[in-house]
Amino acid sequence: MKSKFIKVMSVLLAATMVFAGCKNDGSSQSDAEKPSDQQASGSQADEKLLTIGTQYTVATLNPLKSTADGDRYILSNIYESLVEYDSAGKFVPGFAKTWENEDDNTWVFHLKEDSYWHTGNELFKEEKVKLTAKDVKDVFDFVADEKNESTKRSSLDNIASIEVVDDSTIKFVTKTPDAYFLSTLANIYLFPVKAFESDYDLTKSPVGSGPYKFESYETDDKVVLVKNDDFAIAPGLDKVIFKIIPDKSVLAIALANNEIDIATTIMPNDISKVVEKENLKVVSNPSGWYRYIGFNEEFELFKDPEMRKAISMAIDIDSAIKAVFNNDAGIEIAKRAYGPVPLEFVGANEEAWKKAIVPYDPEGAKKIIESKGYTMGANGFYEKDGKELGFTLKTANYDPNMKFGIIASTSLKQIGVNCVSQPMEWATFLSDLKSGNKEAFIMGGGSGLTGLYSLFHSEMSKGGSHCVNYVNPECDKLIEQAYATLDEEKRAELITEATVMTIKDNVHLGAFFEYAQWGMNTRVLDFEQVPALYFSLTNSQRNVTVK
Amino acid sequence: MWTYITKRVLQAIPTLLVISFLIFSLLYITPGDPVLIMLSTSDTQNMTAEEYEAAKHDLGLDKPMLVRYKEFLVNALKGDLGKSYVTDEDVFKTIMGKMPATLLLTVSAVIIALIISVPLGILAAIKHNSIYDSTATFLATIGTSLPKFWFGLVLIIIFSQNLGILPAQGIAWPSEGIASFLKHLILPATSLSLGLAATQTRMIRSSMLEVLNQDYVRFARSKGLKEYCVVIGHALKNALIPVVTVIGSEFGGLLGGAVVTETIFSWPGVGRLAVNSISKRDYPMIQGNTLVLCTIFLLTNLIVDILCAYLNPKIRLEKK
Repeated sequence: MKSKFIKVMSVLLAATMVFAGCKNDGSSQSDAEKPSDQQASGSQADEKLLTIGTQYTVATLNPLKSTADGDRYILSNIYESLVEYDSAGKFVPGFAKTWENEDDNTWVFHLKEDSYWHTGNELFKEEKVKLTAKDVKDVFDFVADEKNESTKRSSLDNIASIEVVDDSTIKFVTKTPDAYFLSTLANIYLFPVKAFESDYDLTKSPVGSGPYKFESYETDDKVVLVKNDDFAIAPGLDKVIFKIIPDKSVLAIALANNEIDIATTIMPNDISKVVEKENLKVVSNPSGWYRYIGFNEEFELFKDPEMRKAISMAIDIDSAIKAVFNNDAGIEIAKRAYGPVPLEFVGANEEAWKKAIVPYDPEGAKKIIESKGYTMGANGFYEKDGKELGFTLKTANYDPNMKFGIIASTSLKQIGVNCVSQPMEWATFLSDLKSGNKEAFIMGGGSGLTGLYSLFHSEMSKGGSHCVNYVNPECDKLIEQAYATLDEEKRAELITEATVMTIKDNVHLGAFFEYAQWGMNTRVLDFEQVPALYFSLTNSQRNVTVK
Repeated sequence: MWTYITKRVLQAIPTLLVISFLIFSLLYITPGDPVLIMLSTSDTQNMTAEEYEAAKHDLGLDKPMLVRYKEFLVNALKGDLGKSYVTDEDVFKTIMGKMPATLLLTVSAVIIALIISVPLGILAAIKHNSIYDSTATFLATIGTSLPKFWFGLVLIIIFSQNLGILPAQGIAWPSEGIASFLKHLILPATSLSLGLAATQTRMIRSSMLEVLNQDYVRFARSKGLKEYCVVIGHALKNALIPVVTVIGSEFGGLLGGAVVTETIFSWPGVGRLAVNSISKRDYPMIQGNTLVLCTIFLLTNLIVDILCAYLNPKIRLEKK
């Protein structure tokens, strides 16, 4: 019997070794798992390897369909786009070196003449094929074609025509003036259309013309890119590994343990364990992400703007920000959002917003509530016609938003409003927002250049992720005018006017702009000046490398 | 024996059918919309109603539930579990690609659990009512009570953050060096083994206590055999029968438990795949994952029964 037991154990051990031998595919992983210090002393000591730890999984590497942040981190290094934009919303050259407007509707782009499709793949093999204006037109025509089912198709609706002037010049004519036309272009990756025509699978093996070539992707584990020697600017790295680490706390520990060089998010609780290490530091995302409480204006209580105002007056935002983002390192992670446009973007005007917002005044809030016929009930909450004054405040299960939700609901309970904070799983939360199953909610987003439209235009606020059912034709008109105004100064004025209008209407209770904290090893160079991964690691504004 | 195996395999078919219907129904009533998840990111919040409907139609989500279930079933019978909504990859191929990592973790956890539980259980039994017994029982109770995610994080904090001797995340394969392979394996496998080690310790202890009071053990002692021979040679072999049964059923549980462990340790296995698929409402991947795991669970139980018969001729003879 003892021998039988030993046999069973041997079988188990053998099974372990068999599974250990059954690796998913043949790609190399060796460097990914080694701490950076080990990499330096390894057999490929001269290889410049950057390992980025990200909590975002990759949804799809299909350039036609991709929309997620995790995809963008990878794809922006494989593909070029006509222009890139930095976090402050300024546009920088991509495949287009320069551009100009012939008139408000006509955009002429002068293209690089030294961009080539990646070689060493089944599509181009070793042949160096130059990208031309025709390739660009082909891509836009392909994306705009309904039958190709691109998720970006509708963003090109405003294009009236595309003309190839010569190999290195292309002209776009829009139907109406579009101030954010460059933003649209920045989101369209230049992929070889011939891949789709020849049934080459770009999702499994992306081929572009960007600074890094795709090497391998192991689902939910990591993506490996290697440098493109044919890129006009010599990439600063030999290899880039995007390591997917879903747990944010583990992300910080992996950074502290030198397993990764960059961590895309460091939570407030983990900041001190990063900054206390000499070889590590945290850097702020260059622009803030807007977070707010949205009031569903179809919910009876919030149909009345005065009630929205009263609720807004009862929450001490400044104290809440301190409580949510307090950290031992004393780093400012969030700034109060007096208005909805990130402070770094055109149209952000704190002075104008401050004049428009309602101050923190719980007593004033009570007076408004009482003026609406509510009386204090026996259980400490206001009542009217036997009905208690209260609502549910839904939040996604994102730590800062959940904490803010608890603080907000506690503040409201103190003045007699029975507000219940309800954290939810992200997919359910999104579904509830879309279906209208909400009273008030804490949401983030709308922090891109065209965020204002998503947040307040009646086309979007009647459905979608920021659905508050706010309908104000005057505000719609201002947003449309702003988006059609190419002159930055005039556009800023229009945006400010629209945002002030939404503040006065108490559509949202603006909470804070969150500045995500990146953790990085000091061996990483040239990343800090634009600490974000929405743009390629090698472009006209930076060329990330390691010591 | 063959009749018994065939019968058990046939019994598994209705079980899998019921499970597949349950998964399908549960996913249908679970809130969350895969189209919204796919299209609602910072850059595409301007999604139009038309795009939303088109995406829904593409995924076949506009069809009634029973029609979708019928399609799923017909395809599954042909061995086609469909394609992921998110990655467009073949579900079965993706799951099988992840399976080695999960099985490696699970089998390693079983080995660690046995290494811990067998000596501890024996010690607790032969030193019954002593400090050793109390300690082993206490440790087993703690082990059963501690949540895996908590224990996993504690291991990471101690061995990765504070001592810096083991990696906090990821996997390494033997081709990358045995040292790296073991370093990456030890924390997640230990974390996953905790519950099983605790259960097994208690199981071996009680099983040994029962066996040690049997007449044949007393007889063995009266023959003047050394205590080592009595315990290992006579008592342990009979005490192990229930242990093997429990390991078998726990193995399926461990595969499920790997969901938490794999997420914490960024271990690229089936569990991580399941978590990501659930958060993205990737229905074909969730259905495929659950079906494959259920099949493995049923197969494991069958193998355990066969193994018990192999270990104990009495069972084998009864089955005949």
